[in-house]
Amino acid sequence: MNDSVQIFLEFALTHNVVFILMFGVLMPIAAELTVKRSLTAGLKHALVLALAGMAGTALFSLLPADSAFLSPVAIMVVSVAAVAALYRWGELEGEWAGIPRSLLAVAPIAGLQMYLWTEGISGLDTVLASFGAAVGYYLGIVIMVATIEQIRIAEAPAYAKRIGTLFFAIAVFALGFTGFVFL
Amino acid sequence: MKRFEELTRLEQVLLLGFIPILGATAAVGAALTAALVGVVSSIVVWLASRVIPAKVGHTTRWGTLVALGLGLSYALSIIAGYVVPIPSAALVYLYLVGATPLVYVGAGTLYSTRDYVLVLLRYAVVVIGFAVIREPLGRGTVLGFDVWEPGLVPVGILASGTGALLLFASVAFVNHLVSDLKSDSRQEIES
Repeated sequence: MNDSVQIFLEFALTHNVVFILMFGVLMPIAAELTVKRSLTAGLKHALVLALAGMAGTALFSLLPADSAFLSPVAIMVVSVAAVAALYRWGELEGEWAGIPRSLLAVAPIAGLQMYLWTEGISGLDTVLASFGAAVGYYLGIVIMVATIEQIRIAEAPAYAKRIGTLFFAIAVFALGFTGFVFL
Repeated sequence: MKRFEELTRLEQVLLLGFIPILGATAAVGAALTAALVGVVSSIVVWLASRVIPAKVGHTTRWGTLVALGLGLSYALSIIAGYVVPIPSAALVYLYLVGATPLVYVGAGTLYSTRDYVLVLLRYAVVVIGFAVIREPLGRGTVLGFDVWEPGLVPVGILASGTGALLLFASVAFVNHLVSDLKSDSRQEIES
């Protein structure tokens, strides 16, 4: 397989920061959406994630080698700016658990940059990895919203229609995604 | 799905601290670090939220708190990495403790100070509890020392991210099953 395609697919599926680090963060993000709305909202989230991944890595590369320890500062700056952009774009308004819902997007956005930094990915690979991660993030949001809707309308006892069942479903997805390790 | 305020206490803690609970509980050492980093970062952010005046504006206030939370948790995780043996896979999750809602919940509007302290305590108990289950069963060790007899194979999936999700789901499922059964029996007694 072509190396570029492989990086793209790896970051979309098996190395996707959302699937491996923070599938759980999608639950509060997705809980307020419908499947129809998630199709457009997911695109906004995915685009911001991809751009933040590339911007963050571009900032790391500007730092001299002996100042590499400052990379987390770049991650913080880019993450806060990306979350502000999402908020201005009309996403993640209101509060969740008494804190601004927009804070929930910090985890995947900072997580992707942190992952790219710790894995030492740079150059064209950053673009492929960022867009691959964005595709996976989009899939994650739509899958999560669809699963929440299915649980909501299921004819099941009340205790089986809460987050335990949702996380069982996510665990099954995680098992499925690990099946892509042949990539 | 219920609104956050309607979830049980355990469900709330699971959702607030999902990143370290899922990622930093494969080993007891990493979990102790995650508990310490999460609690210390959260308290510092809570104190900072009291100092930052409201007149600076909503965006500036929360932007400052996020930068503080991310920076502090990253610095504490780096320091902890020199002191406690932490698996490399858990380090990324520890760096990201500052992106966990738990760190900011004290600066929010939902909890009183007393409830906030209880949330932090529950978080520490849950993180360490997950590790106490996952490390011996998934890796066959506790703090790096073998605890199983030679020849016994650990349940490897429990040491993986998928195993963490399954344990997370099981705990949440049993928790609301028990809480629903209790509320049903209370209603029967009342009626």
